Amino acid sequence: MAIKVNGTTVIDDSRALSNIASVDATTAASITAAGVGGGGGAGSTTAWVNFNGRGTVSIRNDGNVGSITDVGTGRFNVNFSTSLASANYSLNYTINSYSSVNASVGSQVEGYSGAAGATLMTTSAVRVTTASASANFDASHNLILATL
Amino acid sequence: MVLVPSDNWLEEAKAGLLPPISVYWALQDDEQQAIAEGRHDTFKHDPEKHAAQWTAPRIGPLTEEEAIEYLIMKDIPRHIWSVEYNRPMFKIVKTEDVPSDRQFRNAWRLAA
Repeated sequence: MAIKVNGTTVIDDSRALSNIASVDATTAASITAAGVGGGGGAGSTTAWVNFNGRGTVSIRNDGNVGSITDVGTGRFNVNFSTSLASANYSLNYTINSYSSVNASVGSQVEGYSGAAGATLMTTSAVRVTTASASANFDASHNLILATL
Repeated sequence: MVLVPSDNWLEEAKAGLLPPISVYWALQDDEQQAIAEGRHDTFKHDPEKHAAQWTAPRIGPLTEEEAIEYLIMKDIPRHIWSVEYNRPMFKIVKTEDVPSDRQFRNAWRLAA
């Protein structure tokens, strides 16, 4: 994203925000609130990833996702590169169909708790699970979009 | 448990675009406190601390191994890597060295 002052482009890439000495925390927070970035740049309000959960996890492409932690069959932590501003974000999680359990697969956020105690949906990561009626399984295409 | 980095993130780490790890820890601490106190439903980060992810001075380029160590400290719970146990709790290896078959992987034991 280019930012212009008096018609002159002064920033070509929002990621360069950190290099501007005159940007104070208030300004940066305003930019964050405005949602500049979106894919991992300054003030990012989204995170998305397309990854293969079968075999050794591999990330095909992502925006604002730093890593995936494989914590068990069909269970993955998606770790954001930069924390979102609030824990109340929306999450879309879709997987490909899987022939042997095609009729009853589910993809869900694991361990979400609105009350006191552990929650696995935080501003820095989210735990997702893919399950059939009988057991968890690894899907080859996991598509996740977190939006604030 | 296997942690796999994003190529995009790794490129940013090598290019020196990351803030000090303490920036993330401060955010994690605030959120954990909110969870412990039962107010996570309405939790929002302090704007100044949140903005530090972009405004804090960059730490400079990292090697691949340094980047992975940084990522572990950022994305793996601190009690796993900050406490000295009587056996190794994790090991940094190339992705191709990780058994792709989960049954073999679960049988892994890290040798001292």
